[in-house]
Amino acid sequence: MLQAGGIEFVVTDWNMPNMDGLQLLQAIRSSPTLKHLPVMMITAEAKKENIIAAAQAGASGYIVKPFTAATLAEKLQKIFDKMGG
Amino acid sequence: MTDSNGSGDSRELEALFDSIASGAAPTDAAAAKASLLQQLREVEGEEDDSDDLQALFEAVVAAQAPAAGEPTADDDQASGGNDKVFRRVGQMARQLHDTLGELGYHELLGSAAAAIPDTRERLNYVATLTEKAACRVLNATDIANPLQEQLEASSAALAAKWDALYANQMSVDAFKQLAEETRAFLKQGLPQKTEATRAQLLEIMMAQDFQDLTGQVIKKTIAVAQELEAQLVGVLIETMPGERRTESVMSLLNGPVINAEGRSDVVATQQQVDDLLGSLGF
Repeated sequence: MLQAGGIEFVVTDWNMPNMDGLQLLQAIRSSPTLKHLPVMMITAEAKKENIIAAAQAGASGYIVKPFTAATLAEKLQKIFDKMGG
Repeated sequence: MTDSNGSGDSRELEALFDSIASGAAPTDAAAAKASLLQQLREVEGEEDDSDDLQALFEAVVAAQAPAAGEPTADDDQASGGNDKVFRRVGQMARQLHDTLGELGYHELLGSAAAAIPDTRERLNYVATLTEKAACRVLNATDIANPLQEQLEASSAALAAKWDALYANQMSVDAFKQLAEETRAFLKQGLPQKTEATRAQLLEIMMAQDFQDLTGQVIKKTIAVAQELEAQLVGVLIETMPGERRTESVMSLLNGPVINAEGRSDVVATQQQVDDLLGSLGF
């Protein structure tokens, strides 16, 4: 679906069936056509290892559940700012 | 695996395969099987110990394994022998590992198990002493209680008579009798009963001497229990499959953190996530 194009921003959970969020992130970053996509992780996984692993894999943002709309807006804005700059 | 034209290593392996393959010839294997069966019967007849039986059983299995498959083409023969060698080496490594493990754990568990009868004795000792102490205390209170009741009743009776005197309802003779009764109570009845009660209080106090002894014994027993626990946990950790051991620690799929209090490996707020990412340069 991602390869088909038309997607410009990825917001993903970590704990998912078939392919977890980290695997998805790694797949996106290793794909030459998709590696530029911003990927935001929104997950209940709150271990420091998780956050470090996501950061190392190239996540654009990391939000722990439960989260507020304000947090989401702030993090999205931060990513957009980075992309613009 | 089947590359036989490579380095010297593979030529050596090839030679090994050949020796295995020749050992796998049906006639040889059948003969070996027959002689092993003969041995098996002898061993059964002697009712030898289980170690020999176990070794013999493995030898029989090993002799049968190469005879089971009979490859036709040369390549098949080489790869079949190759697999068998690896399987056999794998089995041997596994056996060695198991045996070493059992030896180590037997020693460990043996020392732990040896401490248990001693601990049982100690706990029996504690039970005996505390039971004795409880009996002594109950007996003492059984003796002291009626004494107190008698004192109470005697005092109440005398008090009633004195009340009658103050109400001017008493004759002179009756007053003389009351004075005599009161004097006797104060001189004999009261000191006698308080003395007896004090003796029982002393008995109750002395019955607490068990605490000194049982306290020491229980401390030792707790030490044994802790040692035992540590050893059993050690065995558990060492025998647990490697994957499961690391799973709980290393997994990145733990779900929500139920209680972040007192844990340093998790974050509790988005702010902490941001700080962590910030410290990593994001």
